[in-house]
Amino acid sequence: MRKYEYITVLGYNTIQLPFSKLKQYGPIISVSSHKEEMQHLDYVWTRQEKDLLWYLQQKPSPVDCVTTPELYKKYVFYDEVHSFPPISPQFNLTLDINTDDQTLALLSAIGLCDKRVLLVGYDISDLRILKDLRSVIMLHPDMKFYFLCNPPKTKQLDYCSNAECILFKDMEKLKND
Amino acid sequence: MTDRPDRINYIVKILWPPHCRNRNQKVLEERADIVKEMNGMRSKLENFLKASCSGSYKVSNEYDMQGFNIGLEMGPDVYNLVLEQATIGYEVSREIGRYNIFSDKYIKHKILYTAKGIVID
Repeated sequence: MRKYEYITVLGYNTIQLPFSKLKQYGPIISVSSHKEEMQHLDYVWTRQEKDLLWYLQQKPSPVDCVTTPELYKKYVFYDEVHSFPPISPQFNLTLDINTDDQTLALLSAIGLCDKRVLLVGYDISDLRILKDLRSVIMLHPDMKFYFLCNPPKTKQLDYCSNAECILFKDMEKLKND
Repeated sequence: MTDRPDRINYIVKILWPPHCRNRNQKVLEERADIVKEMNGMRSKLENFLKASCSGSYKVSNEYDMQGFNIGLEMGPDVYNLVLEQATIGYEVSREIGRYNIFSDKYIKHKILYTAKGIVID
């Protein structure tokens, strides 16, 4: 499969922007909590079997799910179930059972994309999530990360040269990038 | 396994009947009956896939000493192929390849037959 140039990672937070508009910026990979907008999602990261089954049962077309190796083994004959990409241990990024779903959705997105990642509704209030986000950004210097939010702009990613905070009202300019 | 042909998500190897396996080219040249049996098995499989598959499939023209590969688009067709081996009379290799969207490669997995169904190791 050819990699996408752009991809959007949808975190836990609800957003006011219509998903149909968000789709204009590339495929969307989401955590599993945005079920009501499932028709706009291209991929979902989930580690819960009941969520996996819910997304697989949607008509007319189920959503592609990225999941844990354990669930993948069980649902390998479902075409829409994909295993998490193999990740070698990397500096300053510890992946374990407590790793947040947003981080895993982001890593999945990086496996599918090679140029630009939009982080939308991405909750960084938890310090571990923020630390993991910074680590992921720094481990991929050849990619550009845009953190979308409402005012005021966060300064948490200021020292990551390949990350930028963009306000939702200014996101149109990303179309020209 | 790399270079994914269009819409082929799974690769399954069908094993030759036991007495046809591990035969070198010289033996095959001398034993037309074995070659006939191998070709017959391949045709039988092709007919079965034509009748039962809901997605696309491709039977490889390449033979090796153990069997031949079949590429399938849809998981339920693979499941059916594995399930029906005793009924139709063929043997599926314990190893299957599943296309991985992240690595763009077919990843090999070992099939496990469990009380709850067919899974991978």
